[in-house]
Amino acid sequence: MPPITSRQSVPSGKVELLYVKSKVYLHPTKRAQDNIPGYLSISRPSTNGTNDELLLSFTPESMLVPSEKETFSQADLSLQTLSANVSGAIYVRTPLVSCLSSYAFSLPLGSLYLVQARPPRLNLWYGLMVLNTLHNVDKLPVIFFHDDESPSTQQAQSRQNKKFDPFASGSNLKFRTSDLPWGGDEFLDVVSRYAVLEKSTLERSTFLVNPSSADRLNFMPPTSGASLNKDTANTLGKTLNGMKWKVLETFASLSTLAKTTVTDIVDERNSALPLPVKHMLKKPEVASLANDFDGARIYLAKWAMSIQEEALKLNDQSTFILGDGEDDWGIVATRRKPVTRVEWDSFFDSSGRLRITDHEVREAIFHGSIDASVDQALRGEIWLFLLEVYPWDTSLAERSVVLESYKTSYQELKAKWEQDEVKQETDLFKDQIFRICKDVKRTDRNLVLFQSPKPENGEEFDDDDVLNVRHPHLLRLKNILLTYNEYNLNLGYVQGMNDLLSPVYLALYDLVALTFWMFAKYMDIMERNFLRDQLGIKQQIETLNELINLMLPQFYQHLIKCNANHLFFLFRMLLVWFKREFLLLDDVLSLWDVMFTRFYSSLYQLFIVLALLQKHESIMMDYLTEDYEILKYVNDLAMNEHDIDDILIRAEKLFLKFRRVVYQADRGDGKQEFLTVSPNLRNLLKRTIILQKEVPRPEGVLGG
Amino acid sequence: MSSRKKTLLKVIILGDSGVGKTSLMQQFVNKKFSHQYKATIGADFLTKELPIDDKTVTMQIWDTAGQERFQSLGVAFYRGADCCILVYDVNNAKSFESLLAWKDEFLIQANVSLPETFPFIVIGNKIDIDENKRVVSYKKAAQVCQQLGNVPYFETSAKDGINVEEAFDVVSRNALQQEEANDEFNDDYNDAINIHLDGEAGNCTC
Repeated sequence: MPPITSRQSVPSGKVELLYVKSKVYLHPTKRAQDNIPGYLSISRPSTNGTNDELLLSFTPESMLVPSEKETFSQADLSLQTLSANVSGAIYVRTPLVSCLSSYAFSLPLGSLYLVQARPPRLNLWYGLMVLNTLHNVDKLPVIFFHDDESPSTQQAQSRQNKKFDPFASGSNLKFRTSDLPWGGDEFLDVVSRYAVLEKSTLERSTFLVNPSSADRLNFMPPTSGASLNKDTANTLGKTLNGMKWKVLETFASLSTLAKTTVTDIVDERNSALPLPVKHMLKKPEVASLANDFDGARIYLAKWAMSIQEEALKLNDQSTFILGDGEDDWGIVATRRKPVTRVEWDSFFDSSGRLRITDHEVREAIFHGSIDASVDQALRGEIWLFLLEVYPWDTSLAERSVVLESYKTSYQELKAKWEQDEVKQETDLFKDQIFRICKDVKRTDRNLVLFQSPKPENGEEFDDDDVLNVRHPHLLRLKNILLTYNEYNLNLGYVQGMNDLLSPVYLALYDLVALTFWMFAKYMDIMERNFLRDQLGIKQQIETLNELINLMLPQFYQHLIKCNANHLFFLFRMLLVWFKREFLLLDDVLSLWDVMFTRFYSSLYQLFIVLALLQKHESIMMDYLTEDYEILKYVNDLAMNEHDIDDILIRAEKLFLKFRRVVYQADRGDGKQEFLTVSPNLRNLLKRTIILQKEVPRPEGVLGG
Repeated sequence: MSSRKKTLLKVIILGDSGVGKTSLMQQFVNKKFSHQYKATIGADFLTKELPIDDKTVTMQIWDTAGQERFQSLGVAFYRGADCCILVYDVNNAKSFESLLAWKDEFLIQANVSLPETFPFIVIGNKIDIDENKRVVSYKKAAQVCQQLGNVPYFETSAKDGINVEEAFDVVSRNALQQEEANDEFNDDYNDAINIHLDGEAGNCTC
């Protein structure tokens, strides 16, 4: 006798419940109070329909009136045992296909493609289930079985416990993903009554629903090492031939699948991608396809990274220990909470003098950055010390004296070009003012402070008249840059300085004189990046060459293979200290906080570069084979959101590891041959700023 | 050459800072213009598939930084270019005067095998700006382009999308011609080596 039948026809607008599980939750955020309880159900919309037409639905409790809730709860218990359904069919309202406001979803069982189960275990309190449809691009939410709240599961577990042998194989469930009974196994058992369910041999706890032969090839390849079944191989080949471009789209839909398999990625830290995806990508047909279409490899690499990012995002950072592999030497790096106004003020006594050492302040900021979200003046105030505009050992009264002298000297410097009409007529000045005005008008115009007000009377505020800067804040940027252009005559203004000035200005903008001096101090550090002969940048690239070769040797070999060891793809992040690399300015500023401390090194930017490369190395090695592909991939990272703490933790670990390598090399006490540490690498351990000044401007040389 | 081989055309855009190189590329590839472009740092490229007669080619368009000192580091990417677009701003005389310097700079950096026949194109951009601010006349520009070696000349507005398609159409055709010529050149070159290796190596008189 079939397990559940109904001779009566299903009333219109209703469905017949075949399976209900209560206390199934969605976890839309990490916070428990946002969890959404509901009922998972399988129901029959009509008496004569096929199994493919059965509905798999999630109905939030909040969508049901009390009597409906009662019906679902009763069904939860009564449908659980097969014998219980003799009492007759249970009908409920047809579930909503989807409802944006309530998280309900419902789909025909026939469109279900793949189910991944993660039973509860020590680090996963509630078991979860990931449902994937092949054609539906919408991502179905992950469902969590709160078994401790679900009466039917409690009932099943107590039944099992009565046997005094929870690990007995006596359970009649077809699929077991865990030794202990949990809601997910029961769900799989129910699905298997209405659909062909096959376990993937490639990926743990993954089940294919009504698999096709191509699916079988992808997820259940023969394990014997025998040659692939010709039929299935041909099927796949045909599909690929027929689809061409569409294959790439298939990858994209698979990414929906992969993004949700967080636990897998976390469990198997060394592998960025779930196995079926990996296998698919390694197929020669796919490989040649990637070669056929320009940009396909970059696309694949970006996609692979998005999966990794997703895994990191969904995973609780506090429990995720980065790369605790053997080669990590037990080095621990942590981030602390950002420095707030309250904490910053507590560093000072009543006279405004530091009561702790500046080293301690640097350490706090190095490990936590600055939280200026509440008090926007805080960052500027701290930077004034980090950049040594204000000496660390001053009192508030002393600083106000310093401030007055800064104000006076700024006005004097500004007057030097403002009031010198002869100077203003020189070719050099004209060249520079033109360059500055051009760049000021395209400096961070996405930021509120620099946005153009709405044009009035059809007149655009920021028009095409280059030298006419009318926006009040842009005008100040222009004046500061022109004053710097005079202050440092040999160097003058160079493109990119505007990018460095803009955050400094934002941090202090109502104090123009201080902004100028803070920028000038910042430029002391950055001058080497802007030299006419580019020597400072070239030296950093040379050092990075050695550093990457030492710390990421395999990746370095790959760069050589790609002819990318010129490292030009790192130029932008080096020139303006990651200003262009992140979608959010706050992320950039957090990095600047850290670099400004010079806590470990005055060249810490190179370790942040190294951390970014380390994070992406496996993906770049797997997918990218040309230097221009690497450039594009790295450039386009700027369009993503980044996990800054992750990058900073990696950077610190890399630094500490590097430092240990140097110490060991210096001691030379091992038996193997130790490397000799080049002066370039040794410089990385220094905290003093490397000052590299521009030489006097040769006769007739303009600003270019 | 196998028919499967894709045709990839590499195009480099050069010109003074702020003449609209990024805007031209964006207008051609993405049909959009933004007031929020930033000065380009380093280099970047966009690709676009486009039909030329019965062929489909992929054009890889390289956008560069305008300040001269930043040119030297990115040269690795100029190698193998099939066409070079020199851009100036019709409202800025200096950017027009720089054209020749950019052309020479390119020929040196890109290591072009036959500089005399290498395809350049000159674009005078920003024709949307008030006519009385214009400082370089069409006549003057066309004349100079002729002196540069009969270089095709277009006037565009990347902002309003005027003439951009037309300019890039010529870019793509000339680049394709160059690419095919390069292929032939390389084939001949390879053949020459093969003959040499297969033949009487001992007779070498050098």
